[in-house]
Amino acid sequence: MSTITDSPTALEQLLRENELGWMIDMYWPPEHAIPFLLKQLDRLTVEFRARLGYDASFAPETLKAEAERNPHKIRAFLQALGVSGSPEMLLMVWRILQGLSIREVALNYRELQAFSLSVTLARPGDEQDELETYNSGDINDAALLRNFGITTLDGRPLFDGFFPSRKK
Amino acid sequence: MIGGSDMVFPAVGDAATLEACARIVARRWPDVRFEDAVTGDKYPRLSEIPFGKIRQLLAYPNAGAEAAWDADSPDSPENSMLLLIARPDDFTVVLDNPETAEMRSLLDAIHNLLWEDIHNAYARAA
Repeated sequence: MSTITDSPTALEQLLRENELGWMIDMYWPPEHAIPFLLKQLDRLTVEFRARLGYDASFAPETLKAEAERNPHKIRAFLQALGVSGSPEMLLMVWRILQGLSIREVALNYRELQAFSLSVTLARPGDEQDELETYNSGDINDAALLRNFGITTLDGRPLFDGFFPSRKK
Repeated sequence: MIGGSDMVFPAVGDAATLEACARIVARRWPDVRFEDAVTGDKYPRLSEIPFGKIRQLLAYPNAGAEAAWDADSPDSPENSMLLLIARPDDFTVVLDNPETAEMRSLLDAIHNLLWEDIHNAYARAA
């Protein structure tokens, strides 16, 4: 049975096509970047199965196929892969990309003392639906919030969706 | 025919913008139905839309409104269909009447969502 780690070339191609080559070039040593990222995708696969009870593929070839339908989603996901080392947070991102609503975000920070981030998701429109909560204690994961869609609806605050940062 | 107001936002009209705005429409209309305005392909669920392949998206508040438009019914109520158009330099919502409370709320939400793009567009023009 093949694993995600069989796909180094496909991942490098995907990253460079999405102008994320820095994730390889800035890593030291650069030749270790792709194996590290493939392991991250493997860990995400395990996290997905453990949390949701069924399998999903995060193989670069699968991501590439989805990029043909929804290039912005894969770009956003790859940007998250460059930000977060947490499979739990990457799964949170993936679930938003799959269409889940962001029900609650709790962020706690105390200078030089503590950080915690908790994001709760649910299927849109169903108040009774099962909630999914994702937690992190890594302050770097705060950067993921920059990719949330931010707006108001009838004057009420709304995080909706996870979108790629744009080129400047 | 869909009505006569084009609400143009000076934002990058790419797949991400189209999805972001479609999500807002889906919040306003929980039973929304989407359709590719070019091919006529229909999408009962937001998650089924291949945003990378679509630049013009029709949205109906529900299956009844969609059926009425499909039948060219002259009785289709006001604002019972929106056309979302994503172009490289702008994003446009075409609708009958932007002055209703529902549409003002929706357009405000889209404006807020695209605020950074809009701000950047004005900064470039200054």
